[in-house]
Amino acid sequence: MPREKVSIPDQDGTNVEYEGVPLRDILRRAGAPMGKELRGKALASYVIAKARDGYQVVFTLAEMAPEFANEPIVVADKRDGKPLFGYQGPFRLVCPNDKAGARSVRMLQDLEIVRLQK
Amino acid sequence: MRGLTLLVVLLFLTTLAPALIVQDSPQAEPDSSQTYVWNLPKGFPKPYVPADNPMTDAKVELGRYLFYDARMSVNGKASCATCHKQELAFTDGRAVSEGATGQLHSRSAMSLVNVAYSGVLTWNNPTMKSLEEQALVPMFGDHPVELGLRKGDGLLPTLRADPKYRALFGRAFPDNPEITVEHVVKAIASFERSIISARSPYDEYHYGGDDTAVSDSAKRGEILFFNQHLSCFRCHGGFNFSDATVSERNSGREVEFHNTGLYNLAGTLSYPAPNVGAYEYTKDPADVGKFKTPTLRNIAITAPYMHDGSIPTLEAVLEHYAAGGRTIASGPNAGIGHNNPNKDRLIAGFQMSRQDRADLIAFLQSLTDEKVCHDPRFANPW
Repeated sequence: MPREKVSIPDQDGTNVEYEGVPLRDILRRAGAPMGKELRGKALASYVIAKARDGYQVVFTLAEMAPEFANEPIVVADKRDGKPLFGYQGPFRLVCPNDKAGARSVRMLQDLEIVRLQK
Repeated sequence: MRGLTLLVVLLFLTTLAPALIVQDSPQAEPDSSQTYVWNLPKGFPKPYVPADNPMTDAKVELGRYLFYDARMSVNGKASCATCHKQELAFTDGRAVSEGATGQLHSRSAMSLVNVAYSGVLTWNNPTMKSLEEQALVPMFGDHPVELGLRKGDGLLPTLRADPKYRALFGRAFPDNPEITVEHVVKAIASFERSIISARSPYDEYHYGGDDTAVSDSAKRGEILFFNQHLSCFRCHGGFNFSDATVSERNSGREVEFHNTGLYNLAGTLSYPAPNVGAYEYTKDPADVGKFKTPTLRNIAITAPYMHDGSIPTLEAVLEHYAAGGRTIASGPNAGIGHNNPNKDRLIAGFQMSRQDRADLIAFLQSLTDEKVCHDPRFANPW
């Protein structure tokens, strides 16, 4: 899958470059509605990102879709060119436009797509 | 709401990251006395330095002489190093410190390691942000007496009479080599800022990519430390393991203070006076018992713990956090700290096996930087 790099300031103020695959591409590959399919009831869909320690956060599909918010959220496996390890890895989310880091889930283990239906 | 429709499971990789310590500014200038090279490893930002007191080697060197000089006390019995001993990561190993005249401080001496990154100084003063200003407190403070100096006493004449100091001040302040209190505290602050700890086994592992630098137990402990159930990292996060950390690029960051449920006395002041936390300065009842998050670097050699040195070992500190607060059954401080109304919501308690505890201790021990404790640049020059 095509890989992207995002540079964000770390907690200590230094810039860190993460590299990985855009979350939208992984979701699209998994069959999540994107593009013209992302309308009507499909817009009531969201993604739960789960970490190995049970931590969970939520994103909507529209956040990632190019037709909507087009957030460049990345599922990263490298930090400054080196594979993620320890409490960071082996995968983590990186949300460059989030002001807080709480949705940049470390130790990412599962991505679960949920469709809400009324 | 109805069910999930898709599930993507990510496979684990087992690769470990090799990394190299990258020198921040590897080459020193030829005339080093009027410049300063931090030599920081990657991951360590440049500390904030006030514009009116730029770092220079000459000032750091003068500050080191002053820091270790017992003439800086009223009776020649104490110096900064009395309560900030290098071999103990610049703490004193006591529950509460003792001043030059024997008077006890109400709180435990804080480590000076990486104090350049500390957004506020001392345990509980939200307004104390300048090392230069803080140095005046142990020098001239009388509540309690630490060094016991008084303005107008013999300190400055003593320093001026010493040719060693005349030379050191001349190099440190070439434009105005006068020996003044302002120059004294600027030099001491510069020396304190130079005490950077970045060479622990954990640093060699985490930043240096040396997979053998720490034990498997320490690696498990690191993951526990950054686990949401324990949430240690939420206050002790970042490269300096403290949420009170600032640097050159975020020097204005607001620092939070935390009540960890150590005490819960009846009445408004739920912590035993005079150690009532940030309330001492803000007078806001919500600040009772709230203290700064200290760095965890070198924590294994800075016992006893907490603002008043009331917990003797790291094991007991972990038990305190696992219980979500300390219960004191009897005596003047009796109370259930878990129920302190100002307690941080993160201090909720957690399950911890014996192995977990051993792993967390191993991780905390991996933060001990023996090099900073024996580095001749920080040692007594006399």
